[in-house]
Amino acid sequence: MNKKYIVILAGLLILLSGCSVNHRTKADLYPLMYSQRPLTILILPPENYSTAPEAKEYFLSTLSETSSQTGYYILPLEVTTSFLKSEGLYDSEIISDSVLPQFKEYFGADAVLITKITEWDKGYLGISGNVSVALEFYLKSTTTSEVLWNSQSRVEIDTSSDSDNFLGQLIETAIQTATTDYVPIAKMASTNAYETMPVGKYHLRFDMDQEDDMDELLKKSNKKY
Amino acid sequence: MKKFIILLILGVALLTGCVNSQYYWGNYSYTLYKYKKTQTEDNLEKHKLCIEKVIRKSEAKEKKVPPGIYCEYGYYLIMEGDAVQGLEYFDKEVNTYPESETFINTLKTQLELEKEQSDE
Repeated sequence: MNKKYIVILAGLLILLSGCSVNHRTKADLYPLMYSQRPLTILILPPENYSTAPEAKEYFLSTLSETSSQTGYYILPLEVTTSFLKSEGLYDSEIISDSVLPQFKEYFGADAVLITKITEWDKGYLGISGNVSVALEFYLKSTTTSEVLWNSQSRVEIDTSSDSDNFLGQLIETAIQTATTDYVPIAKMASTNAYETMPVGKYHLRFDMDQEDDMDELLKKSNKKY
Repeated sequence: MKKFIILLILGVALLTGCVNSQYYWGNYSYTLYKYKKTQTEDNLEKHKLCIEKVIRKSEAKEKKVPPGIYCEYGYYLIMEGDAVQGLEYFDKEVNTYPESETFINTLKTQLELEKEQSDE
C-alpha cells in the first residue's frame, strides 16, 4: 500500500512540475505585461454572446473572487459596475478605445479587462445533460489601447447520471443540493482562463513567472471534465 | 479504494490550479449570486453578513482583506444612509490598497452629487 501511495505521489509531482523543455514562455507570449506592468485593473461589465440573458449578472458575481487571485488590484467590481451602469456604460460592447484613457483618469485603472461569455448552457437538472461555460478574456491598456494579455476557457461538465465521470457527479450533486447552479463552473472557467496570465504585485510569484511554460499552461486551461 | 479516491480528489484539486489561499473570500460569490438571482432585502442582508465575516476572518488570520471588499461594504452602508461609517470603510480600502484612491475620490464626488440632487 505504501509503495502504491509513493508511485501515485511521484506521478502527481511530475505532472505538477511540468516536464517538457524548450517551450514558449509567458514572457514570449505576453511581453507587454512585463514591460508595461499594469497594477490596477478595472473589469468592465461582461459582453454576453450566450443564449442566456441572465449569464452576465451571474458571471459577474463570481469574478471578484477569481480575479483577485491574479495578484492585481481589482477595482471594487460591484461598485464599479453600478457606477458604470449609472453612466450608461453597462453595455460595454459600445465602449470604444477612445474612452479608455478616462478609466485611467477617473478610476486609476492601468488596464481594463474585457470579458465575453460565449456559452452558458445547461441540460435539465436531474436529467442527463451537460453544463457548459465558455469565456474569452482580453486585458487592454488604458494608455496605449494595446491588448496586453488574452485567454479563452471552456468548461463542460457531463452531469448525466450514468456517467462515470467522477468530477461530473460531484458537481451534479453540488448543483442539486445547493442551488448554487453556475457558481462552481463559472469559477472554474475563469480560474482556467487566468492560468496563463502573468501574476501581479500582490501575488507571491510576482516577477518570477516569466519563464513559465505556456504550452503546459494552455493545456491546463483547456481541459475538459 | 477509498484512499485512492481521496488521492484522486487531492490530485484534481491540485491540478485545477493550486488552490490559492492568498485571500479569504468565504461564501462571497455564492451570497452575491443568490442576491443577483433574487434581489430581496433578505438576500442583500445575507451578502452583507458574508462580507462582515470575510473582513473579520481575514483580520483574524492576519491576511489582507481582499481587494474591493471594504469599498463594497462602505458602499452598501452609504446606500442605506450611514454615510459616516460608509466613508470610514472607503478610507480602509485606500489604506489597504493605495491604488484605489483615484476611484474612491471619483466615487465620493459622484455620491455627493447624487445626494445634492435628491436634496433639491
